[in-house]
Amino acid sequence: MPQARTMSLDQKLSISNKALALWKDGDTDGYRRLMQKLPIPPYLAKIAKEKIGENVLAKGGWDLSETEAECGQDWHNR
Amino acid sequence: MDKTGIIVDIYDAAINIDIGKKGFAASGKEQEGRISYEDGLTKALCCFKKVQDSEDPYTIMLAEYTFISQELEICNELDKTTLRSLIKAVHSFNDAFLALKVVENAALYQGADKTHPHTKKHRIHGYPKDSFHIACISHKIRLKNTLRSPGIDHVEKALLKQRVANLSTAQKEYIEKQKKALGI
Repeated sequence: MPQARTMSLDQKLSISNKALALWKDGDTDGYRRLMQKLPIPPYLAKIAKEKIGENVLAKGGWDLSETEAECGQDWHNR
Repeated sequence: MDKTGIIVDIYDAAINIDIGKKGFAASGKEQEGRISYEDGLTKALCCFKKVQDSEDPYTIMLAEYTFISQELEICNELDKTTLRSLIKAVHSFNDAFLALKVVENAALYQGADKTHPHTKKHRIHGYPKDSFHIACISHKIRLKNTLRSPGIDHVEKALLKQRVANLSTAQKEYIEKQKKALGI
């Protein structure tokens, strides 16, 4: 199975910092667009799935690559 | 109020805090880490205020559970006391979620009420001091203890205070559900 390409901490920090700068400037749409580029940490994705349901992951639109790398591509079906 | 939207906001804040913490721990990334962490906390504070305004016990508990789980994830494994406390919090919140389901069913909850002692010690405003209340009470104590820790900055303090306030709101709204379920 090909290894999922994971985002480096540098890239995450850059996106996070830019996103928060947009939020502070009142650009909530821009903030959300950038947040959707970030991978959600697996522990948060698992809680979302277990406690809330897939709709929050769909609405959040975050990158699920780290969760899929840790738990498998079909983790949300289990 | 869009409750899913509020939860998405909470998760966004948690993601930034997570990245910030990792930035702090990485050599040469402290400044960017600080921005993500502190601005993530400020965002979280705004989100937790919106969560309180929802007056929905489930949304309040979900938001809090998310942050407890994050604290557990990033807790130093050598800090056994904090680890034990957070694991206990996760378990008690899982019980609280079960109580939230049962209270929506009047017949079930009326049965459950019969199993709770009616002495003052086991009641809150006359209603069962069940898993939901126990989780909120224990966790408020935990948060207030954390507030007394040295080295907490003003944003961390403000967020902790908001979280305490949210749990009080959750209990108040939960009592309304208990009232409705018990027909009192």
